[in-house]
Amino acid sequence: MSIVNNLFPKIFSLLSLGFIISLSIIVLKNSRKLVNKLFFSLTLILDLWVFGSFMMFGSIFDYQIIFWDRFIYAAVVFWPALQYHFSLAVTHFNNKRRYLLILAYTLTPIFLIISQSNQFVSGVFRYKWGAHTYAHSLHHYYLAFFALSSLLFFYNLIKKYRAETDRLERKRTLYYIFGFIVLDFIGGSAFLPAYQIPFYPIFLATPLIFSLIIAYAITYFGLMDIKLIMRRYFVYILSLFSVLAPTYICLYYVEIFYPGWLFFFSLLLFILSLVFFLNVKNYFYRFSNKYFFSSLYDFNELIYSLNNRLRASLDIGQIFQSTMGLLGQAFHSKAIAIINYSPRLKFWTIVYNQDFIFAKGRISLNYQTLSELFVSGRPLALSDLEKSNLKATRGLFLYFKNLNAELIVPIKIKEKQLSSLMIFGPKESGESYNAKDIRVLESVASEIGLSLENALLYQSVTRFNVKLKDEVDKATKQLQEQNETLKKLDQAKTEFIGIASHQLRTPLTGIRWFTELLLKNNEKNLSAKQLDFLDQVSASNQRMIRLVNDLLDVSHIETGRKFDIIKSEFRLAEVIDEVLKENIFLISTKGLKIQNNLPQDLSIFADREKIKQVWQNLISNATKYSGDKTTITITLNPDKNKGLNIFGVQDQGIGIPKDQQAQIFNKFFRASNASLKHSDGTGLGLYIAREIIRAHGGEMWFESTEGQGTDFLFSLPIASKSIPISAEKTIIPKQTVKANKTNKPKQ
Amino acid sequence: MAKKILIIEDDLILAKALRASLEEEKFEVIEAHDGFEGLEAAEKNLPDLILCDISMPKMDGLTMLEKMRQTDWGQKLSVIMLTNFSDEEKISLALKHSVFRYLVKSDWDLSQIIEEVKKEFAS
Repeated sequence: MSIVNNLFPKIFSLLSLGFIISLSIIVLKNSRKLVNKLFFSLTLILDLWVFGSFMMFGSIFDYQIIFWDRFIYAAVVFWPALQYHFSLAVTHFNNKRRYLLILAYTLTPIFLIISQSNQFVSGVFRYKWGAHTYAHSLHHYYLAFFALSSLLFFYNLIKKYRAETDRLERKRTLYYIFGFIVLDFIGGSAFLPAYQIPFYPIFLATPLIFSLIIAYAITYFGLMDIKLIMRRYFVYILSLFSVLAPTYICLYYVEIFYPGWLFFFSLLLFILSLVFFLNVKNYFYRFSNKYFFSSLYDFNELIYSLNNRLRASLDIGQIFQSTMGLLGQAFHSKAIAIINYSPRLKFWTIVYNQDFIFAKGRISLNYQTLSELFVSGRPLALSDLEKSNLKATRGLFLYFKNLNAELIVPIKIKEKQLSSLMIFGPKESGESYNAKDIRVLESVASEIGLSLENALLYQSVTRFNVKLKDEVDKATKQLQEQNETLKKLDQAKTEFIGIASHQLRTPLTGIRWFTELLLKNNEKNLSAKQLDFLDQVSASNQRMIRLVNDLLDVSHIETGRKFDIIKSEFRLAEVIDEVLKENIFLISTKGLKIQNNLPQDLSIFADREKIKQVWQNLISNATKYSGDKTTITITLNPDKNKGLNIFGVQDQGIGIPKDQQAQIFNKFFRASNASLKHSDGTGLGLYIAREIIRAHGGEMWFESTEGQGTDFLFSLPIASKSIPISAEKTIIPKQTVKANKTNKPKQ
Repeated sequence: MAKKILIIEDDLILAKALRASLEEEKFEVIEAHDGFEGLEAAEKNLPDLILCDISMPKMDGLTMLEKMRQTDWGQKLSVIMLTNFSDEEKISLALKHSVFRYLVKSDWDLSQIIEEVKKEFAS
């Protein structure tokens, strides 16, 4: 009997002390929240209470008993106010409740002081299982305070329990109520001996029971957001115990049977313990995760690693593999799978499966029905599906039931199109998926949906790119071949023109020279008519020669050889005069007026022959296309800023039709109205003229209105003759310098 | 004493026209029809002026000119190139060999050529 009488109260109080201190420490680890702070304070009071009781039960002398009892009261007076405060923290605050709380906290120090007086407790009541001090008048008030606070506490919590709609929150509230009933009612039995009622001190076990209830609630219902810490403690304590217990047992027997080997064995076991501790710890970690903390995962961490994995891949298979692995770890489901619907093939395929047993053949799920069922995008528990009892969903329910699925999570792409289903089997721990799990899975599903969308887009873009590249390659190859052919053709054409023109020149020279000899009429036996005919031969021949010269120039430009510009300084007026003389026939026939605005003394530094060719072209064009008795104006406008002389030949002729202006410098192009008027142009003159001007570093352009006239303009750099850039090419011996520009005669 | 002019021209028609023109002006005319002949005739006659074509069989005008300029007798002979090549490459090559004038045949009347010849003798 002495065991029940003496030992049990002591063991209870020690165990209570141990557990409640553990709980205090755990709660303290996560003390940011008000609830946790208050809960810590409450457990601290319990610590002191149980410790004080333990000491009091072991005391013999009155003064000792009174001392420890007062020690207990010094802690316990805080209970009513803290307990009430805690009830507000887990429910809600309002003004009335705040006033009551202030009142409670005001009373607390008063009771703290009076609890140490003789009017509170004094004298010792000894009974069969222990001893307690006598309660006096002031103690009654405290008891009333305690009772009132307890009543209000339960009132607040029960009210919350009844009003609460969240299943989880209701459960939590219930556990608080249970826990505090144990403390306040059974633990309250500690007051009985103060009123001389001998009662077995079961109150000493209440902190132990309370701790267990709260610990259970914390692990299963996330009572206080300290699950992660709980798990760590659980794992460490269990691992430490598993390693140390066998070690101590071994050492115990070694000490008895082989005392001499103790040191050696201690060392050996120490090393072995060190080696095994990590493995043991990991084992318990997995074990605890599987059976006690199966819904314990850090939401943020899960989403974070999920995002990382999803971001790392654009491959659909890989997306499913990595995410499902991660979800499997988090939820500890017995089985997990993803099925994917192909809109093109119109059937479901299993893209990931771990431990589900699918029936052979196609998955007989109606896509349309599923789409309608998951229109909200929320996951569905199989129990929900069972309740819905619609005919259409009955088949689905039976399918998933046979599969032994418990939760189905839809994955949607493009915001509404159902693409895949994640199927979860029951959890290893036997728990069902809670509201938090479902919320998490819903957001996971939308993340996966986005990734799938990206992956699909990427796939189609890649496919398109490959096709596009093929097409482009093909087209490029074709173009290259065509380009080569064209290049060859063009080169052949240019060569032909070059050779043909050169070969043409020799017979043309023959005609020229013999016509000339004939025209001399040295024998004086040719009639005037014959001489006139010979003139016509000569003119035609001259035209032919000019044409050939133009063709040669073009072939020269086309073969990519720039004109070799041989520069010298010369008076421009001289060149203009020569050109005008060459055109005098047409000028005088048409009665054209030439207005030459160029300064007579203007010298330029350029290739004389080529510049003359330009003027020849422009002036002969102007005379050809001018009406009778109109004016041709030769102009000069220096642009000092750009260092350019801008020359112009302005006529009042037929002008260039607007739609043909863009082509006027193209080789072989002739404006439609020009070819009507004169049939002898080649369409090469302007092209060559512009190339010559460009080779001099200038540019040629025109302004024209059809029917009113054309103004051809070209710019030449106002070059200082000291830098004859191209002249250096002509290495001419001194005595022959003057020769270099006489390859065309004056006429 | 009449000035001696050597015509080196493979086209007989053109050579004939040139000869007629020049003889009319009382020049003594010697004719050759390719580079070899031209070189021989030049050495043999040492003419006062050579009118030389470029494109010719056996030896072209520019090669002939090059060889002639390497000889003692041929260094200072006056030469007018009379050809239908008008590209700058040929012109610069010719000018390298101390050519007095470079004329494109088809652009020139006979009378104008005679003028150039006379100009040459006047200088």
